[in-house]
Amino acid sequence: MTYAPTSNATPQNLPDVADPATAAFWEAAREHRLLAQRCDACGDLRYPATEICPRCWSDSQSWVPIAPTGELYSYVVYHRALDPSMKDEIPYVVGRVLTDDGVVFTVRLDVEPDEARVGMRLVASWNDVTDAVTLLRFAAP
Amino acid sequence: MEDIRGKVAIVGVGHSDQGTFPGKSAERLSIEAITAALADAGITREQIDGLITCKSIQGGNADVSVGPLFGMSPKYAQTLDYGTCNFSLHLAVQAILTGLAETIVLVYGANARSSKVNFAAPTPSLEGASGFVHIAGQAGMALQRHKALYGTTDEEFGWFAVSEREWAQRNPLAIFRDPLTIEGYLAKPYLVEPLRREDVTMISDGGVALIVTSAERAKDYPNKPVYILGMAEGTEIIGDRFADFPSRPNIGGTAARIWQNTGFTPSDIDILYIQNPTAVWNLQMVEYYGFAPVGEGGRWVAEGHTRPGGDMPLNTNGGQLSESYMWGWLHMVEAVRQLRGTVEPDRQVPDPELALYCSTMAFFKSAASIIGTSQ
Repeated sequence: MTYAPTSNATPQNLPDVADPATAAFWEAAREHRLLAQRCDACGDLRYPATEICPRCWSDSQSWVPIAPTGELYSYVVYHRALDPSMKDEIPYVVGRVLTDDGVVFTVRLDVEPDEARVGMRLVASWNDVTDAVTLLRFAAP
Repeated sequence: MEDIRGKVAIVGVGHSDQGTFPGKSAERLSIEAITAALADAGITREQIDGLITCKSIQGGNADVSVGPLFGMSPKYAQTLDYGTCNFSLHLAVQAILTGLAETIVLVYGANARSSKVNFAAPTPSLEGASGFVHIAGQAGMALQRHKALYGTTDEEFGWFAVSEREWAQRNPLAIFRDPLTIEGYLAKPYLVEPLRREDVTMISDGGVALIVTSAERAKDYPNKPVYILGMAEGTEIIGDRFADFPSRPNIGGTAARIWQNTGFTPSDIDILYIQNPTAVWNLQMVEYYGFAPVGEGGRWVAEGHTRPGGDMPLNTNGGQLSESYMWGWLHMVEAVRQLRGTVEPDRQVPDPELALYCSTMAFFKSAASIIGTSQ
């Protein structure tokens, strides 16, 4: 896998997409499909993944597709690069997104800072950072 | 819960200088604070039989690393990852009431500023790669949501930072004492919108210590004892599994328990202390503890209640926004000194009898203590 950035995310911050615990999520992301982890025993749906189900303690978990739509619970706009690796990206918007299946993701929004509104409808968009890494984002439908 | 009211007292408080002290370890700063607290209590370390340390952010300052500088091995020693003074104080009350120790020194020491800890280092995760870093990120999420639900404005919210600065100007220990008006606040740029730099603590080096003993022994100490009248805790250690996680609903449970355990109400409290790495903590806690209705914390603070001369003085030391970082430990020192009536005259609240100190471990735990001059 290569780490030649095709956009402004910085390689040193990228997740380990080969980690067996999360590889299925990242493989689907490369295909622009949104997955979440679901407990085979009780149906608990979540992201990020956990080793066992926190609700029923089953150790049998699967990755399943979820609706790539939701609403904006809240958001912030980074006006300062608190970590130097972000200096070429400010200002940028990070949203806390409640998907229609109830899973929460905190990710970058493809939304201008003055267009973000709590409660706005969103749909997954995708940022192909490298050949190996695609990051989930959300944008207005 | 067993009634702990008035059975344990704070008999000594102390701290090191606050600022940047390259070359001094967290443990050494702890000893400087312990030295000051012992002097305040009028005792020597030989009279201490318990030590509870609070870890610094880098992981130092455990009991076994403070011990070699403390130079003694008390019969009781413990370490909390995150004391905020409240969790440490509660542990000390339990140890004293169960006979594990009689006189305990609690201490926090940190040199995260001079050792240049990066509090905004991204984690190698989806969130980290998205640039979601620093506590201002999740705190800002909570505030933006509050603004959307309740119409809270920047001008209202800014009064938390402004009123703390007004108190800090009366506190010689405070690091930030330049005047700050609400107009000046609103003219500052956003850091992580909707938060400005003034809404977020600056990390600092230093140490803080308290000496705690039984109420019977406390009568033999030179200072007026300050009694622990109630304590409560709560958690959300399950973690970020629900949308409303940034609003920290666990604090509401702790608030209900402290009022229930003690029979006090918010109107009984003379001085209020809120540990606050960001001003969002002030907003959330004045609402959860019932000083303002839920959703009204912004409008409430803008009415001036928390300012010098106001009817609910809040963080009279200047808080973590203007005095010093210290994970909230200096809030408790200030509360004790206010209750003794020994702070500078222009900062002293007239004859306070009851103080509430509320703190949290980030988004995961909350704690509260009510302390006062009478048992």
